[in-house]
Amino acid sequence: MIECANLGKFYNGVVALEGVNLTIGRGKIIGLLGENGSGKTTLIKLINGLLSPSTGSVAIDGKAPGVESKKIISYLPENAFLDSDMRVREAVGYYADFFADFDREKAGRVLREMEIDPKKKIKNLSKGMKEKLSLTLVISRNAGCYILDEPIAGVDPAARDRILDTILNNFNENATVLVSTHLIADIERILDEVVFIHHGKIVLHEDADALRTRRGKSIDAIFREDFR
Amino acid sequence: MKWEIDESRPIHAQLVEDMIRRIVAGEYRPGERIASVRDLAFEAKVNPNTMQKALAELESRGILITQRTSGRFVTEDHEKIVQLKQSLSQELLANFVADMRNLGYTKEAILGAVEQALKKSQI
Amino acid sequence: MIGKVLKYDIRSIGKTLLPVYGVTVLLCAFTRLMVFLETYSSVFGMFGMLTNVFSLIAVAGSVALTLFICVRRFYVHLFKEQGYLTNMLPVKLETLVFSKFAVSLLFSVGAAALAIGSLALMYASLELTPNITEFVNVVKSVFPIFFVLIILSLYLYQSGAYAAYSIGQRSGRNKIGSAFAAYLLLYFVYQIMNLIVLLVVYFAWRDLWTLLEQNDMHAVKNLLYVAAIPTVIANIGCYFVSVRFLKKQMDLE
Repeated sequence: MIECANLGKFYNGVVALEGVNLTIGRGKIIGLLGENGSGKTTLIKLINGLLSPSTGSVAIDGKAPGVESKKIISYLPENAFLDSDMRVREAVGYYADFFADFDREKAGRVLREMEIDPKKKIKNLSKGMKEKLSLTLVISRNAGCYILDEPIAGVDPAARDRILDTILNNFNENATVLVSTHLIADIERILDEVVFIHHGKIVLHEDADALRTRRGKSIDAIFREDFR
Repeated sequence: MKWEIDESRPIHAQLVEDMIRRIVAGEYRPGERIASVRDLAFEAKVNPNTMQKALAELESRGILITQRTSGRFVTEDHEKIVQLKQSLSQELLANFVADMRNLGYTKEAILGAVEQALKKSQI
Repeated sequence: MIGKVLKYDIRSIGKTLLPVYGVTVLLCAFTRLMVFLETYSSVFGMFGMLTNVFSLIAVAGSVALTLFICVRRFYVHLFKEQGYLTNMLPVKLETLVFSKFAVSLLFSVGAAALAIGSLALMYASLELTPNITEFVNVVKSVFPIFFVLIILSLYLYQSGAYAAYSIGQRSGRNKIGSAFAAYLLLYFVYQIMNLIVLLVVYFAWRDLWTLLEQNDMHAVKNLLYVAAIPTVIANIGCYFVSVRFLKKQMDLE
């Protein structure tokens, strides 16, 4: 589904990502695990075509990022990305207008579950509500691939459970989910595979249970042991 | 029953154990239909693929039976369930005995302690 | 898809600008009303003079705000946080950029129409000083091309800014600073184009000055047509420069 070959990105000679060779298969939930500033977001932006690679290439279903890949990837950026002058209802309409795979009914249902008022202006929502709204829009697409950049970073533990539930309950089966986080303990249960990223390099890519068996520890503990 | 998962061990193995425990304890009766992979995964807050793997293992061991159209069922083979119960209890006992011996208990002391514990739990 | 992109661009910009345009027109109409009422009481005349000043400020402000809002939309929608959604839409980059240029043109027309309309609303068929009257008469006789020239130059501020932002994307360190430098460079290129056209006119059209001195409206009109050429080229050029640079490198911060 996603293939990175010798992928790298430099900013003014500073290495943000280097020599990444990564293949991500269909229908898996993959955790992209690393500290803040390890290169997680850079990798995700390269996969989405929001950054131009300095070296190597990315291919999604064999093609470079472009209109076709954008049709199938549903992306949750790390920061707020919605036009805050819009109302919730308008943002839903925006998604429905542009993404053929957007499920309006699902969006309405999840918004009700999250208790978000569709008539409210986005700028009047609290930070946690905004994140929930973003996640709702992203997850309400029946996409082939979801890329979630730090979906639980900015929210309190109760909301975290809610968000994980929403991800588990709503994403399209057979879809690939790439989820980046530095909060490993909260998320490791739902992962098929883990990718450790450290100082801009991928240092490990393994089946989650195989890794637990090999090291006899939780992935969180393994990560702490290796990098902290 | 809540799903108790210890993230330091392979999750799919724990799901297998948990399901067996439920069947042995009678939470799932022989011949009973179990929930879908997705629902079970959601309940246990694990990845559906992992749950799928666990159920597949239970199937290959003959503990669950898949009927193509109507879903997954607990085996009606009572003997098998009894066997599972025995092997589970033996495992528990073996662990218990080993732990007690590590604490320095003799055979008699262990028996005494067990009797006392049983008396207490009856109250 | 272009229709949907246009719809949201127009809606977003219109939401801010149309109320401002509305207030400006109302203010101008109010000023004119005061002038009418002056025959009844000089208090209205005094009041009219005051609102006259505000009206002129409002007209200038509306035009300036149009430029600002359009350019801000381009920057915020493509390169800032919202860019994380805009650039993930299953839409070609050319379409996104084209829509911004098209909407800018639309609102340049709007702003020019607002400015001229408001001034006409306030001052049409009033007794003005002879100098202004003469100017107004000249403008009237060449009105279409004069109007187009105003639109084109308003538009060029925006398309130049778009091209400059797009070029600025190439810089890793300071995108805004580079965009500013690019803007100056583009402005320089534009002025050279103007200079070339001016030289061509000077050498190829010997009797221009005498015609102008005789107040030959035909000559004035032709001169304005010629003056529009470099501006049209510059506007179109800015679109292609923007697309080319953004295709080559797009790095969201």
